[in-house]
Amino acid sequence: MKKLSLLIGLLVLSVTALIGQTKVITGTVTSAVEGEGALPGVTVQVKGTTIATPTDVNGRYSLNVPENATTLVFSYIGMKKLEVEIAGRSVVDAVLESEMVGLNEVIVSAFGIKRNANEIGSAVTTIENELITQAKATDAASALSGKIAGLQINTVNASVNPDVRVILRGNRSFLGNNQALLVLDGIPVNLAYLSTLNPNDIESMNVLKGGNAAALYGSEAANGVIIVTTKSGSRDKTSIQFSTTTTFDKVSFFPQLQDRFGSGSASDNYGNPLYEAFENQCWGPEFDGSMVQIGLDDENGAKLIVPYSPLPDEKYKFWDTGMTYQNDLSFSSGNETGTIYLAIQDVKINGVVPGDEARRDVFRFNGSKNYRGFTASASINYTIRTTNTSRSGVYWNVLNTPMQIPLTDFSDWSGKYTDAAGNPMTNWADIDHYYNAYYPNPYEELERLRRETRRDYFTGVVTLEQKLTKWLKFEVRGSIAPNWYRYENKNYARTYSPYGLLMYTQYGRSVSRTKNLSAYTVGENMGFRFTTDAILTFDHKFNDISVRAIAGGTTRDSFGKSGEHVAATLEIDDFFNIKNRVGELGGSASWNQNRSMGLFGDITLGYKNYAYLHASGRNDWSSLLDPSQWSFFYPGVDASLVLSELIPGLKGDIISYLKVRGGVSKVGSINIDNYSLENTFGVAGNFPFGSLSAYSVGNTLNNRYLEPEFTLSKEAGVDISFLNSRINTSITAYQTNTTNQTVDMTVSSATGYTSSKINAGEMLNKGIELELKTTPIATPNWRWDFNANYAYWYNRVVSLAGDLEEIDLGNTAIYAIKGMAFPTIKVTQFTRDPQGRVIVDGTTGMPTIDAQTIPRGQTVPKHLIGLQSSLSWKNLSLAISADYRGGHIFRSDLYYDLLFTGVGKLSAINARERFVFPNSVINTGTAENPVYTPNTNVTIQDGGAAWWTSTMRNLSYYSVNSAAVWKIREISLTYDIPQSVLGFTNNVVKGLTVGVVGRNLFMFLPKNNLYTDPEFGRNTGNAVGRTTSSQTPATRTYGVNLTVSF
Amino acid sequence: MKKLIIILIAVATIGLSGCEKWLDINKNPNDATRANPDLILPGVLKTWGADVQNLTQLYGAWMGYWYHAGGWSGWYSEKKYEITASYLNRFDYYPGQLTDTRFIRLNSGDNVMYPAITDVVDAWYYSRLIDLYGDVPYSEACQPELTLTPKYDDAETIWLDLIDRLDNAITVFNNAVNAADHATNPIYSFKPASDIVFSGDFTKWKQFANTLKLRLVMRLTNVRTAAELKGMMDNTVAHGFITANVSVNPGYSSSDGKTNPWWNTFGKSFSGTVQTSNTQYVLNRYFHEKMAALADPRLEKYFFAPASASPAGTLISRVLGVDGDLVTQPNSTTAANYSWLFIAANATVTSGRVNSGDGALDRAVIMIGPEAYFLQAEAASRGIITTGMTAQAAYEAGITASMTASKVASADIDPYLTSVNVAWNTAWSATEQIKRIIDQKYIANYFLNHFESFCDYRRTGYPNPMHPTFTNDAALDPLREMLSYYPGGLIRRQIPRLFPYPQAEININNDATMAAINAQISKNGVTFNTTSYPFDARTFWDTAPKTIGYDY
Repeated sequence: MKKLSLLIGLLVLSVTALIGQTKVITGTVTSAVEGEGALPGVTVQVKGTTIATPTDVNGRYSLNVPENATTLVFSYIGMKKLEVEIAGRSVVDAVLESEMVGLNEVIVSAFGIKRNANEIGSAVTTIENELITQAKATDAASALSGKIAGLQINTVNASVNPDVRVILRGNRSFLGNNQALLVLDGIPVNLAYLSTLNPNDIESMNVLKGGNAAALYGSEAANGVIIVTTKSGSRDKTSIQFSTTTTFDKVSFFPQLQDRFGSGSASDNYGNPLYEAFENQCWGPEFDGSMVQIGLDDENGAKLIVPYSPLPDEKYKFWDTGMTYQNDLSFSSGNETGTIYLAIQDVKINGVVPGDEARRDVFRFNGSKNYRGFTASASINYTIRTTNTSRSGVYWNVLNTPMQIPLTDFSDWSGKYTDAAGNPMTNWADIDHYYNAYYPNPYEELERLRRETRRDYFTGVVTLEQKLTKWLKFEVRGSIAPNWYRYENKNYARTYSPYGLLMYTQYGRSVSRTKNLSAYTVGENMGFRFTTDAILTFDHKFNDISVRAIAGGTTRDSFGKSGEHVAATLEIDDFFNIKNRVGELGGSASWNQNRSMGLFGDITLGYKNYAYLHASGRNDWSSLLDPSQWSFFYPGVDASLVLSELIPGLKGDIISYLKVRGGVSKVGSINIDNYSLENTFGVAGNFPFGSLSAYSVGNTLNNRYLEPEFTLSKEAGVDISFLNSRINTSITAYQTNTTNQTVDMTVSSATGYTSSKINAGEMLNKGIELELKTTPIATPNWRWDFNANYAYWYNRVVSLAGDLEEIDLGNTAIYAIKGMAFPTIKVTQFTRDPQGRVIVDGTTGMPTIDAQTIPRGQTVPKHLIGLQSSLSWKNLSLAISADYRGGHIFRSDLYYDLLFTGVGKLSAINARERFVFPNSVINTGTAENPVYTPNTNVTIQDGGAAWWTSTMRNLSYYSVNSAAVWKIREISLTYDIPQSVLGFTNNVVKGLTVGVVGRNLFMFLPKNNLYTDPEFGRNTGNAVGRTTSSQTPATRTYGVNLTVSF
Repeated sequence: MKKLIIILIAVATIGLSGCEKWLDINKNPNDATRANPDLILPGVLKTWGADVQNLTQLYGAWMGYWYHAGGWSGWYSEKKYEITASYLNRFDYYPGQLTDTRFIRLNSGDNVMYPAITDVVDAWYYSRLIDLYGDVPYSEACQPELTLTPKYDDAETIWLDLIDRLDNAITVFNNAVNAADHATNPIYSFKPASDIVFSGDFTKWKQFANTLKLRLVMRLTNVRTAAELKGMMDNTVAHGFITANVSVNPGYSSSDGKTNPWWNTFGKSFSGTVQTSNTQYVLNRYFHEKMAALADPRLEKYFFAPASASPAGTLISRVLGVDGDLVTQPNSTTAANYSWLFIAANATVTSGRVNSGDGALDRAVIMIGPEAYFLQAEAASRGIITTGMTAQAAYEAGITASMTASKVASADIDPYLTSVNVAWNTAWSATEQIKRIIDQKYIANYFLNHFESFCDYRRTGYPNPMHPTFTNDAALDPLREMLSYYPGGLIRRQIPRLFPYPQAEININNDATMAAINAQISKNGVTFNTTSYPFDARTFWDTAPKTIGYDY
């Protein structure tokens, strides 16, 4: 790093020495768009200088360039910027390609079929590499946030290895998968592969939002498709690129804490809280600045004394500054007959949770070779991800630290201290002396409970393509995608001194004989996916009519196994091997396999270059269903009409492009796991006992004749460009109805089962998506691109099974409720009178909790806004990406945690005094004929621990808050070192870019969200909208980047 | 082109015909899809032991045996009697045990032994559900093919049907015992290894079924005349009753999840870690004083004296809902000053103490032997059973059995039986006899059977929740009663009598559950909330006057 900055310094110093002789270069610039011909007004610039000229009306230019100039840059609004190497020539022609949606952009569709944008009858958004890597995000998923209308990415937490949930156009299935399908280099793979990719390897991502795409990808594509195309080598140049990025993570949001009360959990005869030196809860007396003891006397009677004053920053300072080091090296080359791309990436992450680490290494090889009409290509990727993280609930433990505790002083829990005379001194942080009688020192816990994982992902795709005639092509593709996952949970042994043992025994802390023994769990999951495709493509023009027809078949075989071995106690401390166990070996193993095949046909008819009709059909067979239900068919049709071509005179200075489109499609999908058709018997609790085994009837009522779910999608849209394509808009309206859902419905326990699988119910989704791409400023030196997108989601559960009113999505307070949005949070509330006032007891002043829970609101946003701005001046560019989500709510379980521990701000808002419950009433009538009289003077019985930790904590109403959030996701400032500066390297260094990047720098939340980033979720399942203290606080990231190309 | 299409179709057709085999791979390799009654029964019986243990825990505090140690937060709901619909969900008995017993009944073919055992199991589970909730689903329960929203049935109707089913079971067991061919006749054939309660001893099953029937019959003393109850018992009384604990042992061992459930909860984990429940519960002042007034030698077998006690050996107890909140918190020297459950002496789980030795491997108790004697004593006293033991004989046998199980030295038993506050007095009135019997049953029920004490308390009013010297003025003498008067939110000076229906049932089976709630509300004039429902709603047999306990 140091050497590199020295190099940059030297380069800058040598600028003045580089002015020399000039020569003249001429050429013609034309458009790649059919019928556009020569392009006037294109800026031709010598790279790295301000030497530039526009082309004339015939697209011609002539430019004096310095002798040492290497590259010309051609730029024009609506066209992709093109760099061309001069390579000693005096005539340099250029062909510019369109970059606007709605123009003749080529879109990679299913099976790598390149389709002209004119013929696409549904909404497709394309994201190029630049937009994905601008802020050097470590994984491609999070880099997409806010950049595509109708796409929602949720990160499960801020850990070193976060999972993401990716949703297009909302949720369609109550309980089934709602996440988009990932298609990587033509093959469908698990969405988890998205975060295994090196973002730099991605050439482009095409997002197919509607169901229309599914005909070719099959039922897995019912929720939209993200097609990732990785880079292939360039046919006309060889380049090597090296990039290094270092970023820092800091906790950016922390729950608001109270600063009035210290530790304690009990009160005296008069209800006054008592100070407790060893308590984890914070329900003690008010701070007074006096000196108090924390913890107990040590063996010699010494005490640890601290001021009785709040230390609100300690819990924030507990978190480390995370560091991410990302190094990339890639090689790209090729010629007329073949290409090659090789890349390697190493990402090393240190998390904000002290001691958490992760590493990702990615190796990629993409290559192709053509021989006459035959083309063979291969794409191979290998990713290794390792993590070493704490398994402790450390956030919960940190929150369980009273406000006067100098938490960060206890970080050295294993240290040994001596006084000046060499006599041992008490380390107040060690396990024997830590002040807290109920929770261990969080620093010690972090090191004692560890989880180490390693995941290996491999993808290999081989494609063989033979041109049979000019208009007929046959293609076969085979792919394998194995992945292997190994995890180890390690509990390190903990040994107490006799003093510590006594102390812990007395306070109920768990002790095992004389210590906590070590424990070990090791598990492995293996997954394998094998797909084959055979496709025949017909492509021919009959005068004005073009026909492209595709017929094909595909098979998929997925299988996997998982197994776990548990040694609940180890004999030799910290020797982590299952042979070293005490007692019986625990564990489990399972195998799963499913297969599917499909036959499909797809035809596109075009008239001239403005009217297109596209139809598709597919039949699937899936092993997941009963043989009588194996086969199911679904069709789709869409059309597009380019009015700007059809209606003469429409295309002009104002409107440069206008297309209308619409389509209807149906997709079947199977949302059940393997082996879900038959009822099962589980091994009865903890059996076998010796030779005695026992089984118990399972709790799920399965259904042999489950059918696929079907989604009917309709969409219509308009793409318009104005002012010579400086303003491009795209508007899409859609509706989907998903019927015949596989519902794993919670049933009354009295049926003898807890859930039942049936086909029932319907979900409706409607929405509008707007995309705007503009270039307000474009001069030779200045360019400003501004893109905005907006999506409105409307969602209703139309019906559930029979007269069922709601489905519990797994004991999370989150439901599918008939007539409401999906999913909806339900809460408990205080009993209220008909006017909505809380009814309290006339004597105790206490409210009661109503037996009926009430729906409180939806947990997916109604509105999503994304904004991206990219401003460049000469070689300096500034890119900003922001997004908003709103109209939804979430439940934060930190509400409960903070009320339990008493450190949260809410628990001190009334100074813990008794108070009259606001806007409450007392029933002064009878139970049968109530009379509700406003309560003006009966206070609740206790404003302290009992009220907050019991009454309020039993109520979920207040744990739910608005989930609206504005985020400044990405900011990057980059500077391309001018070619003139790099000239002294004799063209060895062809480009050098330095940049400053930031991600998630700012988050704007509503005032009543005291808790966390509402984007977090408990997992990637459908029951979104609930966060817990297992999600560590949100972080912001900032850092520097340097990219060199050779 | 045409040729190609023909070839493609041909290939597809050939391919498809081979597909059937290729696709037919959905056979579950992970979970069994077949089972038989032999394989289901051991799980049912083992879980039974754990469920008995689970119910006893809560009532340890509410019935005045235990209280929560200081230095722990929580238990506000218990201390405040703030019982919401989310507090407890024992409807898990349905998917847990009652589907298993149904499977056994439906798959036993001609065999009559397995169904008879499930009648006994069902009688226990449904009677507990009615004790806890009142009306519950029964006639439509566990029949998902019939309905996913089972209706609730009248508790009394269910109860009488349970007694009928026990009668049937007793008949079947009796026939088996008497049948000369019971070893070979397929209708009696039975795999003894799967009976981890009695190892296939049908005489014991018969006595157990009969004792359980007596428990159910005696529950009806407030709603049926003694003559009616006698009529119910007459047909089976001659079959006799259990004389020792009914217990289960699948083969407990010192491995994870394989230890005795009582030991695992109140003692130590399989690896020797002291469980928190052990140190969370300490001797309750009410039980302490009650036992002390009788100079009962079982007290020191139930609890240990703290090392710091002065004079040595003195037990130190805590007061329900008071200590730990009003009394100065314990510190390193006072924390050990209460009498905990744990004792490192040579005692066992079944004695009401847990120890470090064989507790992990002990049998788990389903019904205690002394209960059978006290049931007979009360039945004799009320004239429900007129043959066999007299009330006095059964009373003394019950005390003796309890003392023996608690490892009281046999030399100490007789003096206790003849001591002034215990010795049977023929001059006792009928009411006094019941009070004495129930008081002794209460002491015998300690640890293993708290829930039964709670049922006796609701039915008879005994044990009286107030100390004999109670002045009816809490300020003067707050420390000697069974009732909590936790200051933060005391609602009633009364133990909750009935649980609200589980929140999950209100949510999922709303119509049926609300109908049951409304029936309770109209029967008892209560509202369904934490303030009145748990106190004023009652199960059908709980009709004792409300003067037991008293309103706030």
